Amino acid sequence: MTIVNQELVQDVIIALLSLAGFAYTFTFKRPSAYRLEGSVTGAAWPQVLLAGMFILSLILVAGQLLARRGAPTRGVARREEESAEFRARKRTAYKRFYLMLAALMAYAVLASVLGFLLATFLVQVAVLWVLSARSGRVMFGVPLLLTTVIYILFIRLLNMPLPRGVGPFLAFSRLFY
Amino acid sequence: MLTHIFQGFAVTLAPVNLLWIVAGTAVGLILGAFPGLDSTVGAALFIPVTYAMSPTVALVFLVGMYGGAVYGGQIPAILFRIPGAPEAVMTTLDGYPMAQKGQADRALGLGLFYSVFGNIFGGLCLLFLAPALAAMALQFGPSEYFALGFLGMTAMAGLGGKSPIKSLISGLFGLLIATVGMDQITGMERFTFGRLELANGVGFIPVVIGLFALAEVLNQTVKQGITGTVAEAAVSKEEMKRLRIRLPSWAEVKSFKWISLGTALIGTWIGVLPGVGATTAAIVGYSQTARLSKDPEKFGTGDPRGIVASETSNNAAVGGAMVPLLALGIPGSATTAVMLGAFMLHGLKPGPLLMVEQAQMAYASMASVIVSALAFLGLALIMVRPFIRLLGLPYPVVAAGIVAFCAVGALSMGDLFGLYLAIGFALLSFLMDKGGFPTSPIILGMVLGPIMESSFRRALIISDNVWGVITEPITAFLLILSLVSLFAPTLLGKGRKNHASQE
Repeated sequence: MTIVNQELVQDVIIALLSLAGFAYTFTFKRPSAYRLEGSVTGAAWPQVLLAGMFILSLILVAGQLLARRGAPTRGVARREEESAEFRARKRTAYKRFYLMLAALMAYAVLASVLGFLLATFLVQVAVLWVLSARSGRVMFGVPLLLTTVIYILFIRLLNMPLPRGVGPFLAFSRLFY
Repeated sequence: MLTHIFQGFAVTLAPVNLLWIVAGTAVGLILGAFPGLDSTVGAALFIPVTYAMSPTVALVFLVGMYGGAVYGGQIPAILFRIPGAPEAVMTTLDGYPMAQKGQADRALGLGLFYSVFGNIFGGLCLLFLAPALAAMALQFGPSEYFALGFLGMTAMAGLGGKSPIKSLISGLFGLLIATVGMDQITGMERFTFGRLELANGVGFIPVVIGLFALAEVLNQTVKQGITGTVAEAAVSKEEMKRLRIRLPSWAEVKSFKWISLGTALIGTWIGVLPGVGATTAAIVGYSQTARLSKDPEKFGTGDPRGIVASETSNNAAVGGAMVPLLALGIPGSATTAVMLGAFMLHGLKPGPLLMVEQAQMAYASMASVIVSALAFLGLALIMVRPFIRLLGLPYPVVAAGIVAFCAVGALSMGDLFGLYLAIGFALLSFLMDKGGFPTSPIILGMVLGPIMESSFRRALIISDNVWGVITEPITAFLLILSLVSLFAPTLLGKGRKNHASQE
């Protein structure tokens, strides 16, 4: 897909989302006790904002459509400029990106099950692995050190209420906080 | 006013506060020196740490970190040609060539000296400008506050991004996020989708952490994978071990006096403009100095004037950016937008009333801009080599630390929903970056949203119609100024392009 096409798609998506959001504001329920004459409802301000977003995204769409004429050649030229090596690096980089995102999402889920300490240790191991750290000392030493620092600073000193996990993991977390 | 200023310095120089300023400055220095981390990320990461602090300590800590981070960016810019923070981007142009010529010590010295000068200049302007502006703002009613918020949004859109329309969309999205939850006036639930977690609105900390800190990890994951480059140091390892900072001589200071004064004024003024920060200040300060010089072709080849211009203006913008924050409650930059969030989390409402009701605290945060400059002067002179060694930490280790700190910050709201929000906003930030949409306006929108909405609605109740609101004299002036700030950069840019093509 050419750059212009990608931008056009994203601008159309923003326009459609703004429109959907605008329509959704009509479902807001006004509390029956509210009867202040001469003032606007709570839906008016979001409606103004969404209308603004819709109009601005339409301007972007129009701009993209006007720029589209010479665009296909731009896209082809750009693809030809990219070497095979660069494309391979880009693929690997995006693979890493998806792995990183998956690690973060897994962390959000696991934090409630394993508790903060274990999950945080594991996510750091995962981050280091995704970013190509392969030395055992780095992969396990750094997370251990950082988790200990966070434990002392935020749990011991600042008494921050962090997830403890469930079942055996809850018992493990209770050993520390 | 002088009494307040002295009181502010007295509070700032109290041992506990001084210790926290130095700590904040040191943290900022390290964050600023690491590529990919800057003052905004730092403020986002460290807001949760400030929970346990008193409001004054929290504010002086964050101000110290802001100053330290803006300065810290120049160290890798000079030694590795990688600006540690965006604010140091112009310093790279002359700093790295100077280091290659064997003048790394002089380049670091000039950068340090003029950073301190810029910071103190901006801090002094803040001490005298903010109270005057706040006194004026005390006369403002709801319509003027709405117009001020609008000015903040348009100034950021006009000057802060490549496409004003995309910046405006981001800003409107930020304002929209601020409407999530229960409407303060009517009790109407908006965009909660039946979720209890959203009834009180979208948490500021998870959003900031997601948009700036976690998103940076995602960005760097892709960027480092694609470029795969390792920074090449301008000096050898042996020289690096012996490296010292050589401050400029009196003769040099005299020869740069007009450049430093001019760029300090430019930096402060740009900092004062709502929504525009130190990076723009550095770019404008540098380009104006080059344009006005007799030999502009020397800039970019290792000319010390480039470092003086860039570092003076970006550091002067620190104090400048805090003028609208403290006087009007309108952030002057992305970092001050995050700091505004920190004020609110500590139960404070920046603006003219803060200057009256909590004068000591307001003046202490102003004085801390100046004190932090002296703190990073001392820290840099004593600890430059350990700081440079820290720069050798591999990015994966830094990323692991950022993720862990982000998690604590996102979970600090007390439930896992904050973590989901932070990850969601990190992905959104990554996608927005790819689409050319800046993320700073979202934060600006989030902090200005409640002020703008309530002011707009109260103004409507008073005036009975929109026309009555926008024709109030000060409101009309501010709205015209907003339109000028939105369209002037585009029109001026087009004018310059036409002029250049004719030539």
